[in-house]
Amino acid sequence: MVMVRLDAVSKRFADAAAVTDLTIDIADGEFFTMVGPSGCGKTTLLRILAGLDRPDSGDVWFGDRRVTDSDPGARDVGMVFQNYALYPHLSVSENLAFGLRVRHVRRTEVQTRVAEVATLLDLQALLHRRPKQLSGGQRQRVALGRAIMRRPHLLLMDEPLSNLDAVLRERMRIELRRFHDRLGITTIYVTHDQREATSMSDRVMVMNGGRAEQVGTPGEIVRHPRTAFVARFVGQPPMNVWRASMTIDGTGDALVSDGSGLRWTVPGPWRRAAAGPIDVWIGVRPHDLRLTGPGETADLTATLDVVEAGTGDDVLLHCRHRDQGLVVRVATGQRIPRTGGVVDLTLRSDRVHLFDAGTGIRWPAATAAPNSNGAVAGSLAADVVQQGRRHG
Amino acid sequence: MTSETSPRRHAERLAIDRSVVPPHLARRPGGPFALHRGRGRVTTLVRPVLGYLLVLPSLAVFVIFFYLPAALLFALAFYHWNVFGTTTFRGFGNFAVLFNQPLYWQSLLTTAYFVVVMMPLTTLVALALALLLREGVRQARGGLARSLIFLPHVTPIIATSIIWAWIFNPQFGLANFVFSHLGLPRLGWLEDPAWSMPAVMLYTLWHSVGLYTVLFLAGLLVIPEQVVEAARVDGARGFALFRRVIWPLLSPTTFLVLILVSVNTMQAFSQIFALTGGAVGRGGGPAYSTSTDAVLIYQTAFTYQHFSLAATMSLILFVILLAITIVQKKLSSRWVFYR
Repeated sequence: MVMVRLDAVSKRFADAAAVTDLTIDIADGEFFTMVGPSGCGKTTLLRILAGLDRPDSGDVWFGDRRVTDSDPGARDVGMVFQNYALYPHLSVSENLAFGLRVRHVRRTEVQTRVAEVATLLDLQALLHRRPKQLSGGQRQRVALGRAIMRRPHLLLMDEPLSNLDAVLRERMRIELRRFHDRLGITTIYVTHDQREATSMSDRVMVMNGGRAEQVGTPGEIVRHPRTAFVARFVGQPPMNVWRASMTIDGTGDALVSDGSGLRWTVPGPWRRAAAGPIDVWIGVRPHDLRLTGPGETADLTATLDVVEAGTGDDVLLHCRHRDQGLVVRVATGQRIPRTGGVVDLTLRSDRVHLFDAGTGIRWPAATAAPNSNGAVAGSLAADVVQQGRRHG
Repeated sequence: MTSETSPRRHAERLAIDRSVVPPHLARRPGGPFALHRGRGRVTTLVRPVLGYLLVLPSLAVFVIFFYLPAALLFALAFYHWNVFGTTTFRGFGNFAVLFNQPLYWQSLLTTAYFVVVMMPLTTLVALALALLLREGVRQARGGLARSLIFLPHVTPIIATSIIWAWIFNPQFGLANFVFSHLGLPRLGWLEDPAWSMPAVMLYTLWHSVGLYTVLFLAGLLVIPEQVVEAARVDGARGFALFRRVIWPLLSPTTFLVLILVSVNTMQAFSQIFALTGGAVGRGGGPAYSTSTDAVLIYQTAFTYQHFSLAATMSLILFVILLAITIVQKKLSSRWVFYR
């Protein structure tokens, strides 16, 4: 249990920057997840925390201890590897005991601890087996057991569920969270699966290209994505994001239009950033779009391409709107238009997100006050669109 | 309606252009594209014979140059074969003669000395080199070092032995030159019965270690990186990491290397013969100090023309090798871990 601080950490491999100038504080006992696409630097960061890689610049702090140059074994961390990396030549109990044996802990003490962890993870019946004789889920539990054997104050997990089948993955997600709550070990978890990230964590850091796009609670990240990247990365199916432009009129109100008839007035006053129209990205989640009801005015029209059966409660409509794919989630039982036909869609205007087209940052950036971790404050610029009215 | 779905109508609907179908196929009962299901006599007879015919060339080479001589040798061990006279059956007579020869016992001891020193020596040096080279394996620079270490193994033993005989020359050799510069005593090397065997060992190590280094390198490369990293996170480093993780995972390679070294040293002949002056009618000297079993077998057969006795010695060597390999294999289950 320790507070972790990464201070301006950078790391390059050959000519590629893996992590660039990243600063982050992780609270004592927190379940913190780093999520992002392959190559975003999340695993590199985890390896820097474990001491398996050294940062080119910047520092790693565990509490008030600077560990940047410490050996992995001296950092008192436990790590679960993606492919578990169990010692193939050792039995389950020897795998668990390894870290203590290396430290010359007394044999009786080791036995007690092995028994404890085995009970905790339901491994008693497997103690004499070799890793080869275990199923994926069992290996995963052994790897977790090995990581917590030494009662480390920091637990690192590198995509520990990615090798499990869907059902087991679902179950282990809950198990891992329950486990964390029981032991209270500060946990840093790496995954590329945004659902895993948002379902387990206290806070999530969305990474892209070696930088933190956003740090925040899962709710913040889903509801108020700080950048267009986060908006597209988090959520299943991803947020619909497309181009539009916005002008600020003389009274300070903003007028948003994507050239297809979708227009809003966003009441100001806004600082006039430029005389002409400002390019923005509009973001709308699939469940914030619906089929326009009878007697309503449509916000936008699209062509229906494919109807995808969803979870059973809903159906995903894949549409095209101005050469732009749009996904609409509607409840089953609704009358769905013919494929190839035109559908009228209505937005939940209080759930529309706007991002600067150039920087991808939530618009307008000026009102967004990043907190110490670079996360954007809760109220955000979302107010912009929350106050927005459709321009009749 | 039924005629619409009949196979004939179906084929017509597919509109196969019959003009492109070869006539002999078109006449087939099942139609032009039916699979040939006949189990013709020709096929069932020719297939196995053809198989044997195809392996015959290599089989012939193997039989003529390997199994036949081996069988002949086995038989010869129980006969007295006079090249110009009669051949008589002697039963275990040859064995009795050998076991009453102190020289034969000495040669077995010399061989044992050679094998017992070479097994750990070669294994340790090859392993050490492989561990040093491992870091450079994925780099272009590492290739040169690897090649240099492997290079001696591809040189002809006879040629390089002659060069090493010069190196070991007590008066003008490089070995004593280096020794005297290091303040060490100059040695007689191949002319001193106490140092001739170590000299042979040095040469053998130089010539063979490259092969075993490459084997160890391959073994090191298949150890999963993450397992080593897991051990580092667990607190293992340096020798503890090697002893608890790398060494056990390397055990199949180590086992292979031990078997190869024991077989190769037990059969070693060329370098001993060439280093100790076999070309000028000596070999195995001085004072039989390098007269291993293999050298003695050669001399018995080709210097003293006593082929049946040499055959008996070869048979015994074969049995010893077999026994050692079996014992090693049996012992291996205790320490070799196969993933």
